[in-house]
Amino acid sequence: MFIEGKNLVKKYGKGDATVWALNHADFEIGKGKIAVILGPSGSGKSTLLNILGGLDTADEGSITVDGEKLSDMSQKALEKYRRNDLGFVFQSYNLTPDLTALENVEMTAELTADPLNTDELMKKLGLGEHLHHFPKELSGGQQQRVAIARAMVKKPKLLLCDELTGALDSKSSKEVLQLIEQVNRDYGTTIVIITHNELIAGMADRVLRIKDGKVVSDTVNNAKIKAEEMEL
Amino acid sequence: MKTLNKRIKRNIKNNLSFYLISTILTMLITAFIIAAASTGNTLTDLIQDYMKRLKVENAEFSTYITIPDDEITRLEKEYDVLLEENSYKDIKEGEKTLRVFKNHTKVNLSETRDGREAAGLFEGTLTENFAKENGISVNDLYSFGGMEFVVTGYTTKGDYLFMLKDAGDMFRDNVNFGIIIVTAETYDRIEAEEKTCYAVIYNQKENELDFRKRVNMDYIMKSYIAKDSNPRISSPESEGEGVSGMAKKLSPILFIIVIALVVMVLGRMIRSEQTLLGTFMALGVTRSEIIRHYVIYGIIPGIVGSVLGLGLSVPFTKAFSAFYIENDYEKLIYETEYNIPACLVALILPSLLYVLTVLIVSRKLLKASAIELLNNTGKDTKTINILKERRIRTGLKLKVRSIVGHPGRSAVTVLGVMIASILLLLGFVMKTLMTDMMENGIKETIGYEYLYYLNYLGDMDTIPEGSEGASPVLTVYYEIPSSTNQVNIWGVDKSSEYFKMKTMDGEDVDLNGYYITNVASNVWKVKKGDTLTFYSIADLSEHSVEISGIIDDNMHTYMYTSIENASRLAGFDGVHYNAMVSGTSIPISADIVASTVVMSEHSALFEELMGPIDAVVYIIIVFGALLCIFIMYLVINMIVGESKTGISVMKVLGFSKKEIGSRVLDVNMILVIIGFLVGIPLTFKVAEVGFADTIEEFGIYFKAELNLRTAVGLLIGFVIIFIAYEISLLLQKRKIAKINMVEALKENRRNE
Ligand SMILES: Nc1ncnc2c1ncn2[C@@H]1O[C@H](COP(=O)(O)OP(=O)(O)O)[C@@H](O)[C@H]1O
Ligand SMILES: [Mg+2]
Repeated sequence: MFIEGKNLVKKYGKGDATVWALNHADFEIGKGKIAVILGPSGSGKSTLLNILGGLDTADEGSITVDGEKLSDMSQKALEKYRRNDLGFVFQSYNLTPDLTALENVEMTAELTADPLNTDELMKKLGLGEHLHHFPKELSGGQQQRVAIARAMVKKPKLLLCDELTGALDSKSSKEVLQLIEQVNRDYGTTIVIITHNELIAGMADRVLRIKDGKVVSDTVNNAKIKAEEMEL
Repeated sequence: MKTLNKRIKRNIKNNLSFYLISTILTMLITAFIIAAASTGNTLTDLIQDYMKRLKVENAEFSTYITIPDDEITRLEKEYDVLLEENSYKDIKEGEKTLRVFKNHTKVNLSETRDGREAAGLFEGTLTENFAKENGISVNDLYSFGGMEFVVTGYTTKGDYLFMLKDAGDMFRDNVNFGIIIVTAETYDRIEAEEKTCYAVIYNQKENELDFRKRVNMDYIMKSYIAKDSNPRISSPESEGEGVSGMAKKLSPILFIIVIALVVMVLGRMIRSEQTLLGTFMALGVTRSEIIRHYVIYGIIPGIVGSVLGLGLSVPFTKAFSAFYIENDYEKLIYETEYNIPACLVALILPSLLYVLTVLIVSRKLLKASAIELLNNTGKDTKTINILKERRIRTGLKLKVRSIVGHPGRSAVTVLGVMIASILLLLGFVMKTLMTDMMENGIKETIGYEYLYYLNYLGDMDTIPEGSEGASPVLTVYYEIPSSTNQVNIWGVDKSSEYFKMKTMDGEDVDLNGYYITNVASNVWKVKKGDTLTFYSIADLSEHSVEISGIIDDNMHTYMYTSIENASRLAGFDGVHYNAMVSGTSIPISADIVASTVVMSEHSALFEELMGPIDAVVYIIIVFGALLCIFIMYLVINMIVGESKTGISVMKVLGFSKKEIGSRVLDVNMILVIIGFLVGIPLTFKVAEVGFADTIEEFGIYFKAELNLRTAVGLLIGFVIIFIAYEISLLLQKRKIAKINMVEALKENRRNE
C-alpha cells in the first residue's frame, strides 16, 4: 500500500485531562487514489493529517508513505520529505501576502530541480488572468486555487488537503474540488482530503470515518461521482 | 468571557518575550530616571546645607595693606557683611603641603567628626582624605615638617569641600595636600610664611560693589575671587546642578524614547490581533469587555515594570549618590533624598501611556465591523508593484517587499535600532571625545612646555637671570559680568616664538588685536567682531574690546593680546610681566618663582579631573548597552512575531531553516544598518547636550566631531549592535524552531 498507518496514538495533556487525539488508529490508502477522511470537529482528523505530513509525530504506532517509515525519520529527512514528496493545502490558504499569485507558485517551484511549468499550470487551474494579483486582491476560491498550484508545481507524490473548502461558498468549493479531481487525473497524485462535510465523500475512491481518534469505518466508494455533480 | 480570559492567558504565554522585555525596559528606565533626579536632589540639597551650615564665604580676597581688627568690625556694620581673616600657613615636607588654619567662628567654619576639636597646644583636626591616604588615624601623633601634632579628629572645612591647593588649580591631590585646623595659640607658634586673606559673606548682595570699592580704596585690593569663580566651592555647587541638569535633560529624553518604543511595539501587537478581535465581536462579546481585556496588555508591563523600577531605583540612587559625593569631595555626611515628582511620573506615566495606546488602537479597530476585521490579516501590507520582472528571484522580491510593503513595521524597526544605537554610542562618543581632549586639547594649542609664575611684577627692561630663550608674559584675570568663568588675559611678547598662532578661520594672529579661545567664545557667546566687556578684579573698572578672532582651544578661557595692551588694561605705567614661558626648563632662581606648571604633566592631571565624568560615561556605556540589547530583542521579537505565520507556512512547504532565514529575517539587517546610521548624528547631538554643562562647570568645550577615534568608537558600537541583533535573532530562531508548525498554522485559523 502507498500509505499505511498502524496503531497510531497521539495524546495531549496528562492524567485526567488527557485527550486521545488518535486512539490506536489504523488505515491504508492506495497510490493515485483520492481518499476522504470524514469526522466531526475534534475527532482527530487534523492530527492524523499532520502526522501524515511529517509536521508532527505520533506517540505510538507507525506510519509509512511509499515504503518510507515517517516515524523513523530525522527532522532533516522529514524536511526533505515535505520538500520533495508532499503538497499541502490549508483551509486558510496561507499564501505569502507580499508575493503575487505567480510568485507564490514560483517560490515553491524554486525548491525542486524539475518543477512543472508555472505558466501552464496556472492557466490550467484557471488563474491565467490573475498571475500578477496579490493574494488580498483575490477571492477565497481564487486564493485556494493558487494554493493548489503552489502545492502541485513541485510534482508531489501526495497532496494533503485540510478542510480546503471550509472557508468557501458552495460554488467556489465545487470549483476547487473539481481542480483536485483534475490534478489527480492529470498527474496521478495521491490525494488525502480531510473534512467534516459528508457531501465531499461522494468524489472519493475511499472514505475513512474517524471518531474520537479511532477509524470507525473504511469503505471503498463504489458510487463515486464527479465533483461537478455533487450537491454541496 | 471565559474564552476571552483563557485567550489572554494564552496571549501572555505566546507574547512572553514582549511582556518580559517591555517590563524590563520599563523597569530600567524608571529606575534610571528616578535615580538621576534623586541624585541631583540629594547632591544639591546636601551642598546647599553644608554651605549654609558652615557659613561658606561669598568671596575671598587679599589686600596690600592689612585690615586691622577694629576696622573689620566697622566694615561689618557699615556694609552688613560677615568678615573674617582666612589666613593660613603652609608647612611643606617634600612634595606634600599641610595647610594650617585657625578655627573660624564667623565665615568658613569646619565640621569635626570622629573625635573632638583641637583644644590644646599642637593638637589639630585633619581632613579625612589626606589622613587616609597617608595612613593617619585619630589620636595618632603626626609629625610633619619638623612639627608634631596630636590628631584629635577629622574635619571638613566649608570652603574646602573640593580640596584644591590653589584656587587656580584644576586638580585635587589627596596624597599631597591636606588641611589641619589648630588653636590660635598653636597657629602663632608655627614657623611658616603666613598668607593673609579675608573671607566675606554679604548679607545684602547689593552692597558687594561698594564694599569692594571701599576695600580697594583703603587697603588696595590684591586679589578677589567670588565663590562662583572659586572651584573649591563652585565645583561641588555646580556638580549638583550638573547632575540635576543631566537628570532633567538627558534622562527624560531617554525615558520618553524608550517608553515610546514600547508603545509602538504594543500598538502593533494589538493591531496584529485584529482577526481575533473580529472573532470575539462575531461571538457577541461587547466592545467594552474586549477593550477592558486588552487594557491588561498595557497594564502588565506598565505597572510591573514601574513598580520593579521603583524598587531598583533605591540601590541605583544610593550608588549614584555615593559615586558623586564620596569620590570627589571631602567627606560629607548625607542621606539620599528621593525626588518625589520624578517617582510619581516614572510610576504613572508608563502605565498611562501603555493603556492609552491600547485604548486608542483597540477602539480604532473596533470601529470596523467584525467581517472587516476577519477579512484582514492584521498586517499593514501594502501591495507594491515593484520588481515584477520574471527574471528576478522570488527570494529577492520577498526581501524587498517585506521592507517596503510593511512601512509601519520597517519604521518601528529603524526607530528602535536608532534609539538602541544612540543609547549605546552615547557613552562611546563621550569617551572618545574626552580621550581626544586629553591627548590633543592642551598640546595642540599651547606651544610652550614650562610656565613659571613669578612672585613679582617685572619690568620689560629687566629680564630675570637665566631666562634666555624664555618669553615674558603678563597673565591677569578679569571678571566677566554674569559668568562664573573669569577671563585670563595673556599679554604676550609679539616677537615670542611661542605664540605664532592661527585663528580658526586660518588667519595669522596679529597680537595688536584681541583673540579669545573657542571655549571662551562658547561660554560668553561672543564671536569675531563682537565686543567683550570685562571688569578689573581690584577696582572693578570696566573695559571693552572688540574680538579680532577665535583661536582653537577648547580647554582654556583665555584672551591673547600684546603685552603692551595687557599692561595698559591692567592700569600699569609701562610694560610689565608676571610670568615666563619656555619650551625647555630654564635655570632661573627658585626665589623669584611662585609656581611652575609643566604642560605635559598638566595634561596628565587632566585625566584625574575627568575621572568623575569618565565614570559617568562608563555607567552610560554599560546602561546604554544593556538597553540597546533589550531594545534590539524587542524589535526582533516584533519582526519574528509578525512573520510567524509566513515562517510556519514556509516550513510546512519544505523550506529549510537557512532558506527561511535568508528570505524572511536576514533582510532586516538593512533596516538595522539604516537605523544605526541615522543614530550617529543624533548621538553627537545628544552628547553635546550631555556635555553642555561642562562648559560652565569646567570651562571646557567638547566638540562632537567625527575623527579617527570617534570612528573607532562607532565601529565598536556597530559590532555590539550587530552582535545584539544576531543574538536576538538566534534566540528567536530557536523559538521559531520550537514553534510547532501545526500550532502556528492554527493561530491563523478563522473559525478556531
Ligand atoms: N496542541 C494540542 N493540545 C491539546 N489538545 C489538542 C491539541 N491539538 C489537538 N488537540 C485535541 O485533540 C483532539 C483532536 O484534534 P484535531 O485533530 O484538531 O481534530 P479535528 O481536526 O478533527 O477537528 C481535539 O480534542 C483537540 O482539542
Ligand atoms: Mg481540524
